[in-house]
Amino acid sequence: MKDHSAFHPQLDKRRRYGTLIAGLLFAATMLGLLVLATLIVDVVTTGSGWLSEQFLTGYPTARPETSGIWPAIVGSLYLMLIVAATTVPLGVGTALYLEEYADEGGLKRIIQLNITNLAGVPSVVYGILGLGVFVYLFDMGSSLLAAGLTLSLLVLPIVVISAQEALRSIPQGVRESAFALGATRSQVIWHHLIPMALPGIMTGVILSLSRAVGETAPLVLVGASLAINFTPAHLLDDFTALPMLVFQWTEEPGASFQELAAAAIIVLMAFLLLMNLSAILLRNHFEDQLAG
Amino acid sequence: MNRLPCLTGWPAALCSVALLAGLVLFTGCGGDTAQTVRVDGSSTVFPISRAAVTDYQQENPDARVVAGNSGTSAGFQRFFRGETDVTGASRPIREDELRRAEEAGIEFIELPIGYDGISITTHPTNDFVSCLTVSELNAIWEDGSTVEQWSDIRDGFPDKEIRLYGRSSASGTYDYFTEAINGERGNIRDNYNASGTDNATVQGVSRDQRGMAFFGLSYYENNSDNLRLIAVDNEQGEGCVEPTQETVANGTYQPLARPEFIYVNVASLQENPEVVSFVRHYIANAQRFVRQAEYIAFESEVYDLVMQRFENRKTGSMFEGSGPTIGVRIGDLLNRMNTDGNAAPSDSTTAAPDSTNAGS
Repeated sequence: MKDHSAFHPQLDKRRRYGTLIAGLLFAATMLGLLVLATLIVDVVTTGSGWLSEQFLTGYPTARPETSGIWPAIVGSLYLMLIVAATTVPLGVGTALYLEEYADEGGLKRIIQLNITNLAGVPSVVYGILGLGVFVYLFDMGSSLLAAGLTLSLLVLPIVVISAQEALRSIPQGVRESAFALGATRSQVIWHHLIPMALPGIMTGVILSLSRAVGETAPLVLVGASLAINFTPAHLLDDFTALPMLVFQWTEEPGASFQELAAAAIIVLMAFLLLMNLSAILLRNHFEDQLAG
Repeated sequence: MNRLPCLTGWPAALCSVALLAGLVLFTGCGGDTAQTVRVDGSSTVFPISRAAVTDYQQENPDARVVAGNSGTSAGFQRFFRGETDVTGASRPIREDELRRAEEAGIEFIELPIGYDGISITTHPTNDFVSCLTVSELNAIWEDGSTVEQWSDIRDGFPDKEIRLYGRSSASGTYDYFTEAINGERGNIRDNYNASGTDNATVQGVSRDQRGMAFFGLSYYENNSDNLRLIAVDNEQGEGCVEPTQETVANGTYQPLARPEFIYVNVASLQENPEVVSFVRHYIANAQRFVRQAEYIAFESEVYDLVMQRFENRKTGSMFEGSGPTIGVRIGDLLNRMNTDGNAAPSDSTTAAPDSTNAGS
């Protein structure tokens, strides 16, 4: 018969165990950071020699020495604007409908299941969809708009899910208090829910914009150009984007183009870093506003 | 209620972005996209076309010329939809594609631009192979091949495992290699390391002492320190031939050398004078562009014939839809071009000659 009343704290053993787990978790974190650091160091040492004004403001040519990425920078920026202009109203609207209007039940569950699944569909599949629907059916050609809408479809589920999470995290009491004071549903949404959910929504939007800007496969399928001597003048114009040039240059036989690809990756990473930074700043700004 | 200014501001900002987008779209529809020259097609031909495009852009800064590299087959699809004016191909147009062109009412001019070779390579430390015959290559690569060790290829080779690297089925290089070596497009063993890019294939074989690979010749030339080039004996009495600029150009490196083409939409030539001057510029300087892209150029006389073919607006394919055609030598091309309309001086003002040799 075992004596259960005699409890042995075994504090030393517990502390050792705790230290071990903490060490393992630290190692896991460091491993990720190490890989990232290796990647960045490798890319920067390979590509930084090619970063010049000519590279940033020039157009892609057949020679690495004269090649530039200006139309790709502009193209990526425009793509981002199109994605933002379409996914924010559609994504936030969908989230508002699902969280604030839709009745719990079969239909909502089906929609929810589809959105969650769509978030996991590989980007190349969206590329095929974009080619079939926007390029061919809507006859947009291989244009900026066709590519932008394809990328919008790709990130829309992410925007919806993050906006839903943000709305869900608002205490039910906020809605109930507002309703109790006679506010209409749209007043509750515009005056209370959206401002409170804004930091979360912004984070979701900007992270999905970062994803859209880095995508290559859908652009390849939609038919983005690679050699181009102008920046797009309107939505149905030809275009190119940063990941397209990176993709093309890594396939070239010569070493110079590989280095050029690394230089373009540096610009793309700076782009993404800037966007993530702005996401954090905007979120902090709105959080401060809420608190104040 | 200190939140109010922010939230009334937001919907307005969203609205204005949407409005702006709509406005740009609206005005965009009226833009003159017709004046843009669009080039697409084979990723093998792309470096040549890119050289042509950027050179033309430099001389005509106001011209709008763009080039992409969707691949030979996808490029033809866009070409038949009238989306592109010029499309590159690393093989002659196939019969099914000829039929689709006819259905779409697309008339085209077929222009050979240069030669590309496919190299067979091993790891640089491999010291026992220097030459393989076409039937040995066929035995190694064909579907259902029983070659598992180097000794299965030839007596005297070591009893070591052989590991194979090559391009995947999406590439024109794969199409051509399987057709030339194994007799039929797609006839290839399924247990080789297939990759989407030449560079990945180079990486594979240059790090595997037991490896053997096939990929574009220019990739060998850029990585020759890490690779060993294997000569090919086509068993026609010429013995072992290594692929070089000369042997590819004079047609002795066979069957792994192939011509590259561009196809020009005839309707584009009538609608957009920029296309005419671009293609003229392309052919007139093709030798330079091909060399810049590290492929193998024809002799100048061949380009004269190509230019003649273009100026005569000779439509249709000289290969009559045979698809990847093996063993097309410079002489063949010349003969085909000579017997195919170039010899007869026709007036170049009429842009609708008969296309009897297209399809059927």
